[in-house]
Amino acid sequence: MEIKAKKWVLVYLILVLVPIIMLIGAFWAYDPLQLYHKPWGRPATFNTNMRIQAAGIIRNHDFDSIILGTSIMENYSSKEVGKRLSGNFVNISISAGDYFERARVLGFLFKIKNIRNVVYSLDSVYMNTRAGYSLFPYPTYEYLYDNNQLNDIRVYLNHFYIKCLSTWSADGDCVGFTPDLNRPNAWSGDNENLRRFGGLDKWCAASGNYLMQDSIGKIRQAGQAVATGSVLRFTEEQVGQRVASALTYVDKYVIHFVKANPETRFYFVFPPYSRVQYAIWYQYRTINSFIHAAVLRHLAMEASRLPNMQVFGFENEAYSDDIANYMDIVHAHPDHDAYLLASLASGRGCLTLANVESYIEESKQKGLGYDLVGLGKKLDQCARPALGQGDRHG
Amino acid sequence: MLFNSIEFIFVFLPVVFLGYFWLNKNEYIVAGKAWLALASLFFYGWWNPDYLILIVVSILVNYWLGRQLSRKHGRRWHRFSISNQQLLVLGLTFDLGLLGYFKYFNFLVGNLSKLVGFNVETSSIVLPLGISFFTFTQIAYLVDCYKEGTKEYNFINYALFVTFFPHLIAGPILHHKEMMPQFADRSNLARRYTNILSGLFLFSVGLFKKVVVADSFARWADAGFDQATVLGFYEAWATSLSYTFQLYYDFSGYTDMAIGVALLFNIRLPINFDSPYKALTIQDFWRRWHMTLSRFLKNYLYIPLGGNKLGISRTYLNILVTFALGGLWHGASWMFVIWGVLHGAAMVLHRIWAKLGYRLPRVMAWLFTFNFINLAWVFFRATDLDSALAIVKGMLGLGHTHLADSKPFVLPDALVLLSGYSVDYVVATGILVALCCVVAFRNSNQFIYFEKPEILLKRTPVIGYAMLALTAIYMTMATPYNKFIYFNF
Repeated sequence: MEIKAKKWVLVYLILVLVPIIMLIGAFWAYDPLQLYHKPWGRPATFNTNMRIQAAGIIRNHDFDSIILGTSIMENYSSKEVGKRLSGNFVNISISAGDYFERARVLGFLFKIKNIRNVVYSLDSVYMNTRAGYSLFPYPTYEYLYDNNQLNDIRVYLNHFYIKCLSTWSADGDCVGFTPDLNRPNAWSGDNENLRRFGGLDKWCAASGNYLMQDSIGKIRQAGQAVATGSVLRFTEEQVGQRVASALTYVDKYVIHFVKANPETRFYFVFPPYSRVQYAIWYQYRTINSFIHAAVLRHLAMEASRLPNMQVFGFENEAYSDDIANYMDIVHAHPDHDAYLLASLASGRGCLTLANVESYIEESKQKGLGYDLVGLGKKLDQCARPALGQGDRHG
Repeated sequence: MLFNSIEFIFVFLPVVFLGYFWLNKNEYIVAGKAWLALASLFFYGWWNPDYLILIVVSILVNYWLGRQLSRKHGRRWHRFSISNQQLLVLGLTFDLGLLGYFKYFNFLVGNLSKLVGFNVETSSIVLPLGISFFTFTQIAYLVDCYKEGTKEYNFINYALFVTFFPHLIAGPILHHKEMMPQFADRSNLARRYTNILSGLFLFSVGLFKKVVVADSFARWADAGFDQATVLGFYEAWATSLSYTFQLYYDFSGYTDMAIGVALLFNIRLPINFDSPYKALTIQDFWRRWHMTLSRFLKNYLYIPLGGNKLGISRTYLNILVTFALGGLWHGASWMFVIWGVLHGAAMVLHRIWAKLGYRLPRVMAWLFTFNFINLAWVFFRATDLDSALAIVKGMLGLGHTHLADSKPFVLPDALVLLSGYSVDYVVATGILVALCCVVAFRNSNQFIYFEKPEILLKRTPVIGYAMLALTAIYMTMATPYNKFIYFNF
């Protein structure tokens, strides 16, 4: 019976292991995201979904500095930043990347590489993070950033990549379109985005775009509330709790890395949103303005303590006042990036303990002085169906 | 490390298996056992190496106390003499103290602070995995050493008995008498292909149960318990039944895998399931569900409390206490206590019913028992009483949808309301198929324990369970790992 059992054990192992090993081996060789090695038999191209692509870049490409922002920094040229800040940069900015997601990437990055510079956008997610949100698809890619390369294969085990593998496709949909790491996920060449710059008319003309609808909905909602005096009100206790959790969030997912990596220089940039966005905070959703100011102060304080970090803010500058510079309420024109990069190198816009209060006050006055009601009424004319959308904070 | 992880299936298990039998084949018997014990500690430390020290200290203390207790008379150190009873109390205090601190400290502090009206800060204690299991295993050992003067075991065998990785995290709860002889038996040191084949069969079935079946039900149960805001009649039933089957397939899947992995090493773990959802009474259910926990609670709690020897009312009280504490064993939450008390009360009612001489027809008895179990699982799963009652109300038709207005033929559409899922026929079909399987088929481990292994030595079963394993391994690789529910306990 033992001999018979031995035979069937072998049959079992062959039936189970051969297909699995063949599948794993094939994906290991094909490796469209370059998780295991640089591409074989095709030029290196990159997927624009940086949540799944950054792991391969970190493991298998040479660099010593990174741009890790969101869509705000996706147009930053690595070469340009490298020239100004001295470093071999790659841009692995993650579209709408929350801090906790970027912390996962940073934690992995610092384990694998020595990093000289990190350029990081301080998007306003500290006001309303998606961390811990059960429907956020974080588990579908976070394993790419652990120590275990075996489980990385999971990202390929789906209908899409199996189809790509079956034809060993070199199509951009499978292996990525972008040929280099200068700015692999740039949106500055996309006409759908560019046609929204230029002012109110452009916004109105693009009111079918979902991002535009979101922006217009927010503005109209806030404008009507300000006009009728029905702005959102919060108790001191609510404000205190939200501020405390925002600061804890920033410390846990951002400042932690500054402290843990004293040899790395961190450039933190508050994105120059349009004045409309700030006006919504200051006039309508006031709790956000308190959280924002507290985070500004906190980071200026940390920058004074930690010699390897600088914090930059441009909210007080006139550029934010003109909506013609924006494709929605948060995304500035890519042409403005050169100015911001020059500022990082020169120190212009650097927030310190000495200037942070005046910066907050100046920004506040500009935010309060903005005609949100008037803008909302103008948008009523062009985008009536969008009302009520965009209640969530972006 | 999870049984349903790539690193366990493709790296840890093959390496440990090959290493163990290589050492045995070359007559390094002690080294083989040490290898298995160290591998088990590595397996345990994979989550959090900090807790390795906890389990090692627990083993050392219990082993030493067990040795002392095994001797007939008390010990004397210098001027201090200590009786065996005192030693046992010391051991139990140590074990329950560890369990109490890591599992119940925050619960106690939180409840006390509510009671006295002070806001006391709870500490951030992380529950070490498997602490309930290795503590109970060792409590049984100490009590038996005290009562029966258990023979002195070799330390490596003892350490292996406690840490043996197939059972370490979520049972079955082992008894030293059924395990230690197996570790000491030299005939178990060679590879046995019948055992390997049986082990692979159980592992395959268990992995399939977990990854394919339980994790599918988990999505539906989670949608109802955690995401839905309003549950109507059908949604509430779909939610509760999904959890009922998730829990069953999760735990029985884990147990199959544990028993299967142990069999690869020629170790037979005790049976833990005997088709529990076929039970016709609640007493019958507890003879079939998590049998090793029932055995422990009976032998080391119910009987010491007096069992049924102290009159009817005391018997009923003992049952209630045993089940309430059995519920609390699952976790530091009043919801587990409520679940335990519900089962205890059902056991008492069943006894009264039986004493009165009433009997239900088999179908009615099954329906009644299954539905009670299903209802009670709602309290086991829900995060608080309000959530549980909301689901129960929905099940009774007192919530979103009125029972009288509901029509059976709208079932699939109604299930669409399960938040986050546009699933309809899939949920209903899944529940029906799962129900048929648990009622109509035998438990997978019955093939190994109650029938001859020759049944597996045929082409069809081997190819069949290889295909199950292939599907399950693919799913394991393709989806995020889900912890076994019993890892939380």
